[in-house]
Amino acid sequence: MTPYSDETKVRRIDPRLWARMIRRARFLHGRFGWITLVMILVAATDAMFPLLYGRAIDRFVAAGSLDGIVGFTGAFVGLAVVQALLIYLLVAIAGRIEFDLMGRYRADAFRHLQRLSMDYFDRTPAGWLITRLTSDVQRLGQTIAWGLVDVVWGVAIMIALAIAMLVIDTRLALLVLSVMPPLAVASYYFQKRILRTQRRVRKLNSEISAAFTEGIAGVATTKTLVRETAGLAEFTALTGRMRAESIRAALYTALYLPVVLFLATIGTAIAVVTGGMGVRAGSITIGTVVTFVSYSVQFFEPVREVARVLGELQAAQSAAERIDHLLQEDPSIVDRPAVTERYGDVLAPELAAFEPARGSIRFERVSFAYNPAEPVIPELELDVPAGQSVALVGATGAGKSTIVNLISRFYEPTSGRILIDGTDYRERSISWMQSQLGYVLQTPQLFRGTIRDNIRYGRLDAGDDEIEAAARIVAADEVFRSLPDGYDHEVGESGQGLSVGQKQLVSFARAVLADPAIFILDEATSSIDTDTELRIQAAITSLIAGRTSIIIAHRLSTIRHADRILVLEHGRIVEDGNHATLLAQGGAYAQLNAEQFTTAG
Amino acid sequence: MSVRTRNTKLGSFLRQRSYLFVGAACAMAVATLFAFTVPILVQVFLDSIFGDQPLPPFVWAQRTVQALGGLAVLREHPLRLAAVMLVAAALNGAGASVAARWMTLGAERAASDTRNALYDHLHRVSVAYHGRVTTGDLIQRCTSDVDTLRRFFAIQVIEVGRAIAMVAVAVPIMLRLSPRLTLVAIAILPWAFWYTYTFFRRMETAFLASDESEGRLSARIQEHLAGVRVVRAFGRVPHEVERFDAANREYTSISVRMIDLLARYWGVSSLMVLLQLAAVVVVGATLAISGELTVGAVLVFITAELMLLWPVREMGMILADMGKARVAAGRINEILLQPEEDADPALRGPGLTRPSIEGAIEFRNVSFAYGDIATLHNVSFRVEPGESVGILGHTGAGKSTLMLLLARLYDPNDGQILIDGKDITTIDRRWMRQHIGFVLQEPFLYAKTLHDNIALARSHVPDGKVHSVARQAAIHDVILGFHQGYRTPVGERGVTLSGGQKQRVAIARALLTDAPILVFDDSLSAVDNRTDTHIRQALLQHRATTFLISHRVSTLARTDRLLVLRDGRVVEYGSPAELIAAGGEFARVRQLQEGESHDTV
Repeated sequence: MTPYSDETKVRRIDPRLWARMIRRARFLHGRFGWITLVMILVAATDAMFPLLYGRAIDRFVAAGSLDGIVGFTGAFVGLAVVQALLIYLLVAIAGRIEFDLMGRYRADAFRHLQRLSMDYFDRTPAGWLITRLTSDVQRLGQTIAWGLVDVVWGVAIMIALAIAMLVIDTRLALLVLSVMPPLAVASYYFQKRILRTQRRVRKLNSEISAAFTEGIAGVATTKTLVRETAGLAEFTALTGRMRAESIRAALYTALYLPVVLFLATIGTAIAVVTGGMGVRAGSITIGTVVTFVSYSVQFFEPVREVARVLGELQAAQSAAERIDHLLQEDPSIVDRPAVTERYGDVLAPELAAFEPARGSIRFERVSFAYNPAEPVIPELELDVPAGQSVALVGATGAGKSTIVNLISRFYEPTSGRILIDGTDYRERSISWMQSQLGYVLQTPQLFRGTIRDNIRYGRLDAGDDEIEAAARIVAADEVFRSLPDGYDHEVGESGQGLSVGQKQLVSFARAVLADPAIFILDEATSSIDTDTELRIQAAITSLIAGRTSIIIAHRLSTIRHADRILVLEHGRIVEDGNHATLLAQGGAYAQLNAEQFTTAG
Repeated sequence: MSVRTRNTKLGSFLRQRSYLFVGAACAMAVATLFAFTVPILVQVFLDSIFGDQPLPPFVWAQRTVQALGGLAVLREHPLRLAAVMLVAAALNGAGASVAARWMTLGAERAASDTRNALYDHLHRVSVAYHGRVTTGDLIQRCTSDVDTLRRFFAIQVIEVGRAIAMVAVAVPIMLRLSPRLTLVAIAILPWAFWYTYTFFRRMETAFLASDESEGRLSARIQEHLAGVRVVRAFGRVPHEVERFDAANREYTSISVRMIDLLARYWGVSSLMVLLQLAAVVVVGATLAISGELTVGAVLVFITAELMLLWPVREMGMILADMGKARVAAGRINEILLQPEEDADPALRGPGLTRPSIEGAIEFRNVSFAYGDIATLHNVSFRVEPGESVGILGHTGAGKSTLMLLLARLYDPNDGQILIDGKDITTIDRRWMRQHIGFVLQEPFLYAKTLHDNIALARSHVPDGKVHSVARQAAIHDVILGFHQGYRTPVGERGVTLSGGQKQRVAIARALLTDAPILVFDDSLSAVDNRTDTHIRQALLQHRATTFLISHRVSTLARTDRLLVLRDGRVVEYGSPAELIAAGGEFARVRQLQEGESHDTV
């Protein structure tokens, strides 16, 4: 199983993992202290109420006098107000812990993601990461904050009641507490089974969600294959297992709670019979017996709460594991400490120290492998002077994207070095390298906001006139003006509402505005009709003029306009020259050309 | 039940289990009766066995004492009555256990039926419906809405039942013991209930604000992850972190406002409960002194009070929550009430014949609109069995729609489609689809092994057949390259295939059907030219009527006939040679794509 599965792992509660998660929440230690204090006070006040009715019965009922009833009422009401305030504080503090914890885990994870290298994003689906930063983080915040409340309260009240009973009447207390060992045995027996069945239910539940997702996403395929019936049969088997398992899980709970209740009643019976005999013998007051009877009921309440928290801890464990996994992921590319000192880190770059680049690129014996067994690029030598446009040509897997990823420092060479303007790029920071790049992707990525905002992403302090000038350079000014609201046209999530061609133009204008030393273009392979393609070609031509450009090209016109064409096979440059010379050579390029490689769109 | 479920499938799933729900209610009532037996027996002990008061005014209690030999005997052998108390506790537990079990059975079975019905129904409605709604919303309805409903019936309904049973049993008991103290004891119940109910209704705005803020935060994260390459390439990490932090902080602060409201609720309602308890203790003590009440009776009141108040308060919360269950039921019903494909007024209903299909196809004046958006106008053309037809046109020209109409995923608004001279609306929808090997524009693979994905449309396919179609689709070698070969699972738990690989698996799947009609909706866009040629040659063996949608002139030029669509109209139809000679759209596009190589080759 890959670590990117949402499938719930069938595992027991792992205390070390939880300790680690709570340690990450150290910044809240002040609050944790307060909440513990409040919970102990709540438990203490809880223990005082039965004591108060016991006193009332002895002082007033048994004595047959109402002397001091006003003071007593005042004390009772006072205690009630104190407890209500404590409960207010408890919810307010625990709620703050919950949301602050969530916010912190989320912010930690988000910042950590910024430090991770591109390879991480290439192998981790975005959907997986989003679930970690939303529902997992939420579940964790809830479980830790409220689980802590319930456990502290549960333990505190059991201790408080045990102490109160032992102080009031040791013999009676020991008799009532004799119910504890069978309770512990029963709890262990049932909890083990409840937790186990709950794990299975959760696993099935995630399988059902996955089945729904698949069914809905693939509905057209299922219809064209006419396999509705077969699909339903598989699904029904799944829901049948879910039903059986849920009913079994509920059965254990339905048996466990009455067992706790029965044991509590044994406690009550012991308190009332032994206590009653004591009353008859005059060794104990009737009020004390009343207090003990109440205690024997109260003592067993936390048992259920703690059992519930165990279930929730288990449910939240896989969320904790996944967040932990994310936070412990090491970035595969890091700056050396000396470099970080000079240029700052990803989150806080020292922009003043960034030297402007001219844009020459040199590969010196560069090798690269995604995994050691399969080298993608063996000892590549390449020299691109500033201002040259280079088209990379070759079959899928020939190494075109790898070369671009190496230049962008999304990956680093396994051996050899890459020089930018004559300096090994590892002498400068990752942020420095990436801020020299203008990048246009296969699938243009826009953000929610106006067209103007999207172009401005290239240079945040650009004025409106500069934005429009950039659009004019890629001949997109008219296209944008013809949209409703022109440059202020609102673009939906991921550029919704624009055609692929329009999105391409926005991303070109954005790249122009950034005015990078090196321009990288990963041309679209997706299907674009021929007319749109021509418009985009024109934009590309004006974009690459006089700028160091690396182009993963699929279209002949782009390649023709490049200063230089590199034909790659298995990570090696097999041909190097311009369109005319390569055609004249009659080699691989000429052959590709004849096969109308050009019309890949 | 006020959840609107009458006359719907959902309602019938619940009604079928009504015997379980009624049984559970009865068991709950029995359990509650025995729950109140215990404090009254405690009263017998305190007042009559260890004290000298008469027995409490309950016939069953007096009979029980008599049956055990009367008070005198019990004073010597108090354990006999203690045994009765344990029996009562056991019966209480048994009743509660049975009630919980029956509720779970009913709820789980209804939930399971609902899930199956949803899954089934989602495959019976038209793809037009799936096009209108968002996938995320559907999945949420099928998973969390079903779960909300299940929890409501499995857990919350039983709590309401318990609260009602408590009031119904406790109030008569209290009235019997002391009408005056009863008034004091229940004075606050309606207020506590009302306060909780109105509070949670009001809370909805706060919940909503928090949910919306969370939605904004998730959208921000999603957008960031989708555009992470752009963020890096433009060096916008600090800017992105700033924007994330703002959204993260906003969510925390809005949620903390909600927490403060909740804290106030818990504080106020606890105070109500505790003041009520104070009143019972003080008034009870006063009445006891005047001889109207015994010590044991005061204890019964205190116990009853504690048993009553929390459930009543909880009932207010549950009733306020019921809105959520109602909304969930409504959302589920909305899906189940969508007309099935064969009953959808937009589609022409079920065709009943199942003729053998040769593959002659004729479109006669076919027009079609998606809602208001006219997509096809008066499309007419004929294809003989075994011919291949290329389709060219801009994005949005109606190419895919044409093919979806053929597979009866939509029906034309006007005109007719004939297969072997028969109107396709007279032919069974699924029968039609079984005779079309359809490769959709966006190929969908199931979370199954590669073998199963290919063999999906037919049962009991020999491995040799699967391998042979995989070879034809040029994917066999790729599959053998995976560690587990054809047994490699696809998706989260297995390999991630590239766009081109997915297309080829989907092609193999379509070829396996041996259907007389094959449709490739831009299915070769992500494969290189050589593979394209290989696959097209393999297609020739199949002698099926084949439709190829493509932008690639080289692909289109080798078909028997070519159809050019512009804005939903057929602008050209004929053999490629004829169209080139005619000098229309196809000739122009060919010129654009090939002209550049022509002038150099």
